[in-house]
Amino acid sequence: MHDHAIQCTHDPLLAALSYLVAVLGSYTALQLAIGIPAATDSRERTQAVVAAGAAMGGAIWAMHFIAMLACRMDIEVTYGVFLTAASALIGMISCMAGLAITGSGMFTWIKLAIGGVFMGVGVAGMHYTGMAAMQMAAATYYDTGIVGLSVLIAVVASSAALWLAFNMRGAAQMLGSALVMGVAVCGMHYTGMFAVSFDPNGEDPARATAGGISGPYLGATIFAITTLMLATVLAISLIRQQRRSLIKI
Amino acid sequence: MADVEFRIVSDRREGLLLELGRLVMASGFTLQRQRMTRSEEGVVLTMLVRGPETNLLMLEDRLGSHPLVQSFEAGVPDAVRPATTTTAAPVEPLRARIPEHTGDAASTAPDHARVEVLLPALARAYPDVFSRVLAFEHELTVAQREATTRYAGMRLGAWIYKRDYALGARLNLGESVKHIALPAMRNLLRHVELNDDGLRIKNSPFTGIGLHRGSSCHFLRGCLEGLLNEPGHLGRPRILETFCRNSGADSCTFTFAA
Repeated sequence: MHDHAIQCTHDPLLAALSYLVAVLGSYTALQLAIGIPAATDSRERTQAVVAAGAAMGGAIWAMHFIAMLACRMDIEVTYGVFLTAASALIGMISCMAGLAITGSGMFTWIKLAIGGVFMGVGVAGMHYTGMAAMQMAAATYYDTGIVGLSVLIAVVASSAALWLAFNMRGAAQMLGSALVMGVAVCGMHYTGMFAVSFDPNGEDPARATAGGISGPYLGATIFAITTLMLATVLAISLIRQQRRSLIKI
Repeated sequence: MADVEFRIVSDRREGLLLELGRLVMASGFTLQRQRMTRSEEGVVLTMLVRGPETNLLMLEDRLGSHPLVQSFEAGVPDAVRPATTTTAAPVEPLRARIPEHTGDAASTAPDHARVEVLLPALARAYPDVFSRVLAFEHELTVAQREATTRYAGMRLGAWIYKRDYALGARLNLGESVKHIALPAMRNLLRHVELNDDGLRIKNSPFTGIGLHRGSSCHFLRGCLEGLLNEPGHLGRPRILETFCRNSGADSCTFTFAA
């Protein structure tokens, strides 16, 4: 900890909301992901991987920025557009890779481990790129030990979620995997936040935050992503219900 | 060596040739040529196979109990018929060529038509299917019971798999038994457990009803076969009822081998 460090106090309601969004997003993504092994051709498989990875990356991104809105600091903060967009892309691409590896062919522990690393690194990569996007009149410092721990939490919990999603069937598959993936995303984020400290650097706040996205715009984007995830969940469940009823004995 | 032409009717095109091709090879035959068409009956796969005549009955049995096969006919292909036979003539029934198998095969083969009538009722009643299955079993001849109830079980198992367990990774046999067969059987019956001996069922409705001697849970065995065969990537695992309450054991035990 540094002298005069700026404190981040989390709003408990928004923090709880961040977990809910992480679970909802993970549910959407994993529901799409379990369709990957059932794909009949490469086109169908690619579509499932891209959709699931995008949903997972979007969920991590939305969770992160809700949690950042929950973080009350006595300093003005905005987010650089390029790095904010890059953070979402990193999350999406890593998750696509992780889901594609775990969901292809026969299930093996090696595939699960590699998939878990990609997913965990995706979660962490999104988080730390999102943190790098912060624009404020303060310098950022990290405790590398806790950063390592946050990445480990992300990898282990993501692997557990992937195991539940691909290996189990029924309620454990549907809900268990989403709850655990929510833990992966939030566990990583809040551990990562514990690793960071912000020290005022004397820069002019107006200059430091210029050109960045501020809270209201971020809130609107998060709202749009969350609505899209909800709509996707509804669409998936309706389509699956209809297909199930059409299966001939 | 015998050349035999099979005309197989199925309701599904996807994976049909792959599945039946494997089955043909597993029975010691080679696939010479095949053709797939659509007709009013469904998807029609015509396969010309070559292999030892002694394995023919086994191949027919396997085809007859395969969940993708609705019905099939076997015959001598045009190319190996005597010159006096016209090419336009209908396919000669195979059983005319191997009369020694005729009686057994016909009487013990599953009664597909009756199973087709039963299946929609099972789907409507699922998971409370046993009263219907028991009534159905009573109506069958003694010789037909095993094959027919097993076939009905296979069809139900395959349907349950497609309905409730198809989404997720491809699992190996052990994991499939644990995460697919076990929960599916628990949905049908109360006291089902998995241990080192195999899958144990304590309250099989097929025991002690006087319809069978020895192992009696052919419907349950078929169900397990349907559940584990349907994914396709496991091949055709062998499922045996190694202990049955009907033979004095305390529970019915099913074992699985790849």
